[in-house]
Amino acid sequence: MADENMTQRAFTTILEHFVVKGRAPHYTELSGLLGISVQEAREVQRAAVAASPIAGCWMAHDTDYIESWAPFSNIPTHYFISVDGVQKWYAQCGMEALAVRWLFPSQEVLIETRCLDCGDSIRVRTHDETILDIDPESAVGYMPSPFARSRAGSGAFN
Amino acid sequence: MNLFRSEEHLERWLLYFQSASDYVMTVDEWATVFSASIFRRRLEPDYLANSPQYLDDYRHALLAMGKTLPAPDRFLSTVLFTDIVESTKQAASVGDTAWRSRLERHNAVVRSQLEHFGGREIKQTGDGFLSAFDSPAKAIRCAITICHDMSELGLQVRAGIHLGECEALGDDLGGIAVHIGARIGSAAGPGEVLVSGTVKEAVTGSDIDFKHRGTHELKGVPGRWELYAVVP
Repeated sequence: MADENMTQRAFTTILEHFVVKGRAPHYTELSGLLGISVQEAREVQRAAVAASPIAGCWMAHDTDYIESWAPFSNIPTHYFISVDGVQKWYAQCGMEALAVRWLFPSQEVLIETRCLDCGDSIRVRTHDETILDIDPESAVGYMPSPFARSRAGSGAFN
Repeated sequence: MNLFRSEEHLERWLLYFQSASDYVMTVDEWATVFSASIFRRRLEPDYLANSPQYLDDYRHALLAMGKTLPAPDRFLSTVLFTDIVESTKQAASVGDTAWRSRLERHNAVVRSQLEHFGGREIKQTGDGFLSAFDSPAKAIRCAITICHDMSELGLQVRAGIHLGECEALGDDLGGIAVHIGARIGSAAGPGEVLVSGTVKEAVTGSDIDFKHRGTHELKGVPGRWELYAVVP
């Protein structure tokens, strides 16, 4: 098992990579970023997934490819995130989209998505603590219960 | 977790899914909940160690909105963490192919012993396993056997065991008891099976002997913990 410090470093490095590049590092990139071997990078990635709270990070099934690292998704979702007008991020889900702003201090974060019922657009603009606007104002967020199981295939996740 | 243009839209969509609506809130309210430390402090250098505490903040944020986290399925379980000692160093010394073969044998041994002692594999954690048992004595015996078998493979394994209430998270296990088990595993020495005082007391009357290994602080877990090494 990777030691705790290295696990934490990997967790943070992956998240920082998302912030800068809009995607997860491949484990070969992670290896370079952390100054460890490729095999160690694969191991420490798995350790970071296991240590991540609220089941927020996971790999694509049976691979060491990062699929999601809360609040981001490494594959396109219908939660488009733009920061200061540039769209290169996808949020893991509608609620995590609201947490993206904490990773971009002093910048405007725009969440663009579509209602799963009617397909019309929903836009939420945030800036640090402030929710600048929500369009439409009636928009609601829904978290299936129990949320931890939703990823396993209820279909209610996204 | 999804966004909808209004509750009306959500209700229509929900017709396709028979789910409770306990967790419907306005975007503004969700934004407040998603301001809890567990979401806000992700880039902090000690985020993972503090996450059990941050999870509590999340619960409180939901509670402040009149909501609660889904009542988790909680049950008493014995958790066993096993882990190969200095796996990276060993992998480097024997080479990738030989190491992969050794790992496969390691995994086969662990799974075989879990089956023998009635343990349930929860997941692999890097070069180790998290498993759950109904009985702490079975977990201890399984851990001793795994440590013994591994030495025949030229590997050293450390093991940590704790007994406490766990939360079912799909096929995974969560809760502070699991964190404690992981910390105890990290504190174990090569070939050692280390248990919490809770485990030691639970097997009182068995023929299992222990040696006191002192009082420890377990990172991210409140209080100080008496740990005991199983005498093989």
